[in-house]
Amino acid sequence: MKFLFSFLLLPTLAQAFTLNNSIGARFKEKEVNVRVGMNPTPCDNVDLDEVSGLLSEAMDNFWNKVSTSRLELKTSGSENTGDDNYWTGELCLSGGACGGTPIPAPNDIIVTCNKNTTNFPGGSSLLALTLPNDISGKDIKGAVVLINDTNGSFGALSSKDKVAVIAHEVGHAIGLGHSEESSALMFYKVVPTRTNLGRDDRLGVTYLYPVQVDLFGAGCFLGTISTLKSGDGDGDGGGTNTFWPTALMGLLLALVFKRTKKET
Amino acid sequence: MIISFLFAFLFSAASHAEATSTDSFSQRFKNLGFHAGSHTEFIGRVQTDENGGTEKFAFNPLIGFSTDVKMTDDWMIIPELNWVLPREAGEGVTQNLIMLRTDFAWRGSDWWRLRVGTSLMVNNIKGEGGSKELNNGNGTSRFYIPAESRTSVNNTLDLGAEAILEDFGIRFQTYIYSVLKSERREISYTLMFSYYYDLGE
Repeated sequence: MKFLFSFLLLPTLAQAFTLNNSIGARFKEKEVNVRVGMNPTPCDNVDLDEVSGLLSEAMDNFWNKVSTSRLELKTSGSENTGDDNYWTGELCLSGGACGGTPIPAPNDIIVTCNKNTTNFPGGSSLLALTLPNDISGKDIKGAVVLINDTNGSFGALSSKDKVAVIAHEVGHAIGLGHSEESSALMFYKVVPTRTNLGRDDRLGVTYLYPVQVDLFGAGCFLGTISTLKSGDGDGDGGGTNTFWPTALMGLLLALVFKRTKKET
Repeated sequence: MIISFLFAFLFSAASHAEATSTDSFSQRFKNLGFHAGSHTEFIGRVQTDENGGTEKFAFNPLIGFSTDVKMTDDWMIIPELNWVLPREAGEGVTQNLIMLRTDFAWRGSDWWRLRVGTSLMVNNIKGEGGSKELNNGNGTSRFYIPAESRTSVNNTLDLGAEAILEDFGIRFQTYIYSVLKSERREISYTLMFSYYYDLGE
């Protein structure tokens, strides 16, 4: 029996997606806001106005294109955080006061620059850094994406590569870890041409944010899609059932049958 | 969900039986179809290499069965169940795709027919848990392998064309995800061979 199962289990990929936390945490809401956090003091090497302009492209070209994922990343330009700690602080690894980078508002991903050398050690080749730094239970409350402002490495990238870097970091912010596949956006380094998500990325975002009966992309009727809840431990990300959509399909088929029969 | 699909199927069949109460069983259920083929997901939307290449064809074996239910001489309804064999999506992660489908088929002639229908694409991703050290660009970090089973269910609009020679058929079947949402609209397809076992007149 085990042999039969092994035969059926056909390997098509050598690597797999990973998560950046052991509990599979994810944002509870279907829509998550992604904003650029403008510090009172301008960044030394990163143009946050440019980053703000690239944000929509980073979300729409990658994470918002996956039909099997319910996650919708909404970009809303930039906002003044009024807090230089985003620029100078150390990345907080947990909720509450930590004396470092502030925790963002619930359901927000803040993208900003940072020049703290603990985050980016001297001469660091890291372009950016992210952790979902406010997790409660199995829910991510918020995350901060820090772009390396200790040197000009991010600023020297092409516009397309900057988009890919931002999208990669947002991948971490929504709960994904790295992939060993160079075709994946979540590969640890920038590849020459990034046009789409790789299979690993798609599987990862589908695993974390699975669609639960999306009728032709319109969302589920009877309000079920808007009441999706996550982190309930059932492993399926929500209690939506598929009875009514399928029953409606049956009803429509039955009506077509009767109509066709009458006409003949 | 399987129960609700059966409900839909029985509802359809019962309704049809009422409308054609004089037909015999064998007249309504013309045949049983057995299918095998390869399924390709999301044409042009999955990057496959570092140079921006995307997937146009993938070998993902699929098996399935169906039955043709006659509506008129030219039209039939075809409930179908397909299963893309489990794919190991890397270390400790398995993907399983089951398609619960219904097509309306129009017979253009004795040797070809067109299909329009809908599917529930039940896509399960299951991980065994654990962790591993991976490069993070500045050393290594520990990342985690999924430890749960999670399922996405998409409703698709399906279009297909099939050539039939006696008991055998070859079909090109497409599945359009998120028809009403252009930014998420994606197309998968299956190339499949079929054997139709005639249930007789």
